[in-house]
Amino acid sequence: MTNSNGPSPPDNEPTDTDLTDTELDAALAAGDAQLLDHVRTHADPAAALTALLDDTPASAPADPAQPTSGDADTSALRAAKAADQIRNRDHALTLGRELDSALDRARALDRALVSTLGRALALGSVLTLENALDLARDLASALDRTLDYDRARARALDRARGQASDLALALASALDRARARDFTSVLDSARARTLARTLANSLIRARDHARGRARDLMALPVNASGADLTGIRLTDLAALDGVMWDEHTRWPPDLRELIAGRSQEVTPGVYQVRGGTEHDPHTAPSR
Amino acid sequence: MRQDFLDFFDAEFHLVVRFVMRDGAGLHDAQDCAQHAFVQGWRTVQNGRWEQITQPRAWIRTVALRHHRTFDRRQVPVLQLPEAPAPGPGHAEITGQARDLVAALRLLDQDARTALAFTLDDIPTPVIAAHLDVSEQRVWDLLKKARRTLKKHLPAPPERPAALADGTDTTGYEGRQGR
Repeated sequence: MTNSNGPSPPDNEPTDTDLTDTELDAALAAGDAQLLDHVRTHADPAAALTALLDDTPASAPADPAQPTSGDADTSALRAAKAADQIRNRDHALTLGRELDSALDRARALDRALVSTLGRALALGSVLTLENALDLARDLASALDRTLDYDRARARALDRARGQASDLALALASALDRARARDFTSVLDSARARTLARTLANSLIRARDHARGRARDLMALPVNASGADLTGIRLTDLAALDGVMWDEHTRWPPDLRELIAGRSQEVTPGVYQVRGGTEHDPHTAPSR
Repeated sequence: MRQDFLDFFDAEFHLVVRFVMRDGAGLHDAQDCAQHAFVQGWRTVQNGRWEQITQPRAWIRTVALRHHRTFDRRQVPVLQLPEAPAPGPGHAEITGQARDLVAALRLLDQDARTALAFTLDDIPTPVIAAHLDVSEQRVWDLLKKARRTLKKHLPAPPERPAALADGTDTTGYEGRQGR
């Protein structure tokens, strides 16, 4: 039998320092209970539940905004699905914006590196490289944060994050050489610029992916009738565009009036959030 | 049947996530694997074949674990720069005895870790044997080996049970071997 995680410990006789069976059982139980607490605190079953319902042909009726029948499609499940749809919309919209910003930074970095190449033999190259490195690290950190938004699907983003890290590493190397007056840093800078361009291309793909996903999500009707959405946190109110809701829908208290003001009654007691809501961080105080 | 499966989901989702984490997965990956397994189960429900699965708790874990071990999970190495910000709330790390447990489980080989992970979820030995496609005796051997390793590497809980600290208990799996 092979061990994929490194060499096995010595398989010798028990020693006095070994746990007894009872102690081992207690340690296993305690560690396992803590692990379950961690899972219960941080895991999100709603996402998996949504995946189940989305995977069901029967759960995609001609008018998905209307309640479906069937024993599994309880109102609680619909509410969980609506909340998850809105969160996913918000994440996709936010991710697109973050990637736009990251792309701007990557292009600024490329411009900074052009300047670096021209001045690599001058003493000022150290300062320029420091600026470029700051930009690259800032970019890598931003990508680390955005990666959380859509882990399962954004492989392009994953690549971009790796490339940002590679770039930071190359720039750090170039900086060391420049400080040591080792003028082969010209070559490092050239490589860094190639990396920066590759990164910019990856970011374009990741951004396009995020935009496409946002378009897909925004095209799907969301029925939040009766849903308790008081716990939802949004960075982009556009995530609510077109959402259907009724008098039983519970919104976050600080958004209720705003949403009501942007909605129209489509049938008695049923409302729809108007489209075209512009992103305005000052109107999304819940985050 | 659909409601039965959703009840099964409610009861088991967190447990399946933990099951995959015992194999070394991070929380996000473990959730992905659990979700994958439940989607497979849901499709089985849709096809009317869920009732043919005689051990659903073992089945769902097997599917999740297989996904964890076969899915391309190459991680892009991230340079840990000194200036890198500390992980935020989205990167919650396991701590304390849970961390000790996961670290100790990594010392086991894959089969022993699997057998122990099933056992910790009260999956009966014959069922484990069937899902691992090995004999029951082989499962007992794996559990014995796993426990021997963990006894050496797992820290004792803060409150050691004084009454049985002399090691005379026979309640462990080694004591049950051969029954």
